[in-house]
Amino acid sequence: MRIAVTRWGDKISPVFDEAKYMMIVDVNDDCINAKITINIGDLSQSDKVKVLTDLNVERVFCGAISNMYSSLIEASGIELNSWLTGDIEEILQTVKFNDLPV
Amino acid sequence: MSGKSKHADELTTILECITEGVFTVDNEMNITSFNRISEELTGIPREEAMGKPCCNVLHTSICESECALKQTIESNKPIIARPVYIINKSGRRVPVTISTALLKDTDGKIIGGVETFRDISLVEELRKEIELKYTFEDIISRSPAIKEIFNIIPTVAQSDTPVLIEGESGTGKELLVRAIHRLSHRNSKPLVSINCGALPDSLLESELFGYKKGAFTDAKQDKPGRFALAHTGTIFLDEIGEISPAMQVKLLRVLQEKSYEPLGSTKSENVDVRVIAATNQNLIELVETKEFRLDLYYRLNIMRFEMPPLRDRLEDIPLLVDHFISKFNKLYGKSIAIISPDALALLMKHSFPGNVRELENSIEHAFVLCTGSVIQPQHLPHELHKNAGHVTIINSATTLDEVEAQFIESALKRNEWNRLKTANELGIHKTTLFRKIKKLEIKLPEKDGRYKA
Repeated sequence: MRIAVTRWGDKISPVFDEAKYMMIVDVNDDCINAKITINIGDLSQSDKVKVLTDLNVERVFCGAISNMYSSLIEASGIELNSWLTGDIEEILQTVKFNDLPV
Repeated sequence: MSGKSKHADELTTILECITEGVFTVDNEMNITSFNRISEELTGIPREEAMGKPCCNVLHTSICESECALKQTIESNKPIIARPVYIINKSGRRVPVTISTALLKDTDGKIIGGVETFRDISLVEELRKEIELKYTFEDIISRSPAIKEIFNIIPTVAQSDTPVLIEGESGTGKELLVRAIHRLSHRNSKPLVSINCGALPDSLLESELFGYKKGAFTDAKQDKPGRFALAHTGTIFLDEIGEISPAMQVKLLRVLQEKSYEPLGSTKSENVDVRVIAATNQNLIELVETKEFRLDLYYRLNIMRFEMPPLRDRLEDIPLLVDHFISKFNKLYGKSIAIISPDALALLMKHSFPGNVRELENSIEHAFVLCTGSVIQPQHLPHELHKNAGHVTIINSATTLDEVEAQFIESALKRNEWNRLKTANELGIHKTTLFRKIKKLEIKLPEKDGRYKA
């Protein structure tokens, strides 16, 4: 499964709409196989969502998100786990052990 | 009850009564108090907010890039009414202004900060209403001169008389043309535009009147001209002051007789069009210098509008900036909320030789560079900063001619005696500048900006 997490240092970015970086992570068989961070700070609203679909992201983890963005993401068939806070690594651990936050 | 706890109780009561969101943080940016309005605006209950980092509760547009509280704690300087937005628990973006200040203990030691935030949704709605009030078709203005034009346009649009629009480049002449056409009975018919200054005479003639097969070597088949395409609609002749005397005669004939002959044809074709002409030159001056026919001038000048330059309607700059921010937000999918007072002041100081078009370009430039939610001075084009400190010193001039001479001379010096650049800065045509230099007897250096690479 490929997931995307909006990143602010080691933490989840507080606001998806204003996030500058996004970490793309491949998780297979409870293992994190690959991680890259991309700069999304200068992307337009539609381009941010396009990046997700172009990269075949299946699930997005983020902090607060406006309805405008959440509708766009969900309309693209991507699952959304929003209003999360804290360290990215902690979130990734829950993904590894299939204990995804609701 | 001790005096200290009584004071704390009073403070809590006051914070609960005020109509702004107020919360405090400690030095680690964790929330230590959170009033009732904060709960209402964020949608997060106090119990949930207490002890959490403020960025995980407030969710403002600047948490990640330029946290106001952090700036205040680090710089010891308060922030007043900075416009941002928050995302509330329902996912709605709420426009707010935030103010911050330091919190110190009795020994003067910094123990955190306080932030107040005010919902400005209503202000935003009113702002939009005001913008609507000052908008006519696509033209936005609150200046009396343009308001007068707004009042006349519907009446003028209903008639078929030619219209002449004068105004510098970028003042919105084309918007006015579109407004007149849209409000006319011809609005379901075509509006055909042509820039007369962009084409040489021979090409302009075939563009305007079309040609017949065999009219010249490459005329393999008949081609209708712009007049034919605009039949029963409106034709817009831009930069009419640039056309040659020969073309002026041909145009005069169309206006007088409502007919023309395509190139290579011996038969006249009748045409029913409304003619709107525009120029960035002073046509009457061109008439005086015999560069423009007086009879054509009178034919065109039945209804005349003059679009004032932006520097004469500075009151429009904030309205236009808001309009362009909203336009580019949609175009670029960004969410820039506002322009900072410093950046707006920079725009207000600029002379805008390129008028509204230059302002629009400046805001578009800022959109490329601005990654936050507020346009700051550094996002604006370099030229605006260059002119910000410029002050024209008028020495003890007694007559208006002397004032004008000093003004032009200082502009020439500023542009290293390059006359084209100076004319652009002053918003006048280069021939007008030459004439003024001669009339006002301004001495030019032997080697000037024309020789500069």
